[in-house]
Amino acid sequence: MIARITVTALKKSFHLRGKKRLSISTIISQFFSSGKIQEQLSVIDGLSFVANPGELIGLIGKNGMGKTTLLRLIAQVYKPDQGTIQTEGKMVSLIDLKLTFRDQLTVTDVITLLLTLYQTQPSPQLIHKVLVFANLSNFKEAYLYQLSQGMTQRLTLTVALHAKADILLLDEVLESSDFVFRQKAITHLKSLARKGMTVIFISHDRDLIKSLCQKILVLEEKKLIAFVPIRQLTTYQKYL
Amino acid sequence: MLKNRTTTKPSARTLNSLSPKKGASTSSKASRSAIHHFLSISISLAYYDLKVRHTNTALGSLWYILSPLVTFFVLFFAFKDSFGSSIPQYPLYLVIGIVIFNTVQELLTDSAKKIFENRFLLKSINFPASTLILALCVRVIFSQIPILFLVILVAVFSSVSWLSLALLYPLVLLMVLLLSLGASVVCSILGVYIADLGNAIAFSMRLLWLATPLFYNLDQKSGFLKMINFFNPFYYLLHFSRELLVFQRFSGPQFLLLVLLSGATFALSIFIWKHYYQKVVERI
Repeated sequence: MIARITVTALKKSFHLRGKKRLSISTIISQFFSSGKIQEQLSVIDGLSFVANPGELIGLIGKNGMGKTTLLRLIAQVYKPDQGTIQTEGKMVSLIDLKLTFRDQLTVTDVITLLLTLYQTQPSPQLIHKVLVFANLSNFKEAYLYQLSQGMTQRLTLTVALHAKADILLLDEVLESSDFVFRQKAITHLKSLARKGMTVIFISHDRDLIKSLCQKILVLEEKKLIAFVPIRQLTTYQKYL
Repeated sequence: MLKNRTTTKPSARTLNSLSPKKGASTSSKASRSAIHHFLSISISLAYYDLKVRHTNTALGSLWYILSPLVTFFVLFFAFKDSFGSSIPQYPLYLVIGIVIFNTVQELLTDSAKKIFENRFLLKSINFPASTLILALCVRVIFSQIPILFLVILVAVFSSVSWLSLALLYPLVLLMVLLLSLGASVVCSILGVYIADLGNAIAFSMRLLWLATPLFYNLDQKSGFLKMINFFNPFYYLLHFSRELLVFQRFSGPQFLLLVLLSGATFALSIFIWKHYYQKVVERI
């Protein structure tokens, strides 16, 4: 069996200085100042794991432990400093997506745009399927700014679920959803996993992780401290 | 759907085919698919950018005409008896200067905020970020349709062949886009580092608006202004465009100069993009 994701000896750090956008005057004054040593913040240090087809993996760890960074590295949004990431198949990611200045688009427009970004043909049938699944058929012509946070989250997650992926990377996507949709999404994710899709899922919700995932990846202080079956969640629940 | 095997390393991102025996055909199929994906994203982003701009507006795409039209009338009535008296086909000369300048200004100012504006999208979904800049160019091409209508109207008023103008206008637009594309890419990267780049561009463009012969002819001006314009790419772009559209004269050396200049800025922008894009994504 070919692994879907193979991560080997992964390292990633960020420059702490200059995280925010600077004004021209600040840039000029910094240019002439002597303090040019940049501080490095190591986020991931020597992380390795393999994810196989059909695995539903919960990625857990306290805030700031590098969960989102790891997903962005796998999604190839970031490049690693050291180590390799091999992925097999089509990858779809939904990592802290805010559609801020596009909130004047309609729900149908957003579905079309996101499907295009996910390399999926936005056919009318697929758009209809997404609308029905997200229970937003009555809102297809509504503007995004007219939807609640939960509805927007429902919409973006449903598009990702229908983007015909082999690997799905999700970051806290069910936190604002109601119980009914949450159950529907879990059932759908499980059925997709049975067909071979690999899912890595970040959440701080113990019940959600327990009901969805087969394995857990635990991050603590830049390191992977466990990659174990879900039955061992109790041992690591302090990291949620 | 593009199915691939991807390896990400610190220095390189490679795309390996799953079936080595069919290497060449699979690779060309993957390239075609990647180009199709690239273009479809650019067109979609441009379309939805236009849609967002016109949602709930009363005049919609008329705004594209309104600004150059009002500027044209103000400048025309202010200068037709002074600068305009010695410039043949002054109304067309003026309107072409205004629309080309506005187009370049729009490209540069909008590109400065493009990456920062799309930071959540770029950090959530892996798609080619350069499509954002291409989408901006596509949007500008769409917005030229009503502007061309305005230029044709002035051509008819000036008794200049509107048909040849309409046929030659795409070549001018192509030169505008080629010349601006490299600068737009650089601005999009710099815009992430410098918060007030938008203001700096707006200020520089205001100075250039006065220094470039938009509503006057350079022959009417002093040696100092001529020297400034010797280094001003807008001057060559405007001169080439006016020669072509107003007098239907093709200036070969200027065309070559503009192509070389566009090529050089584009090559520089690719170097900057390749070197800085990853740093930029981690910064936003």
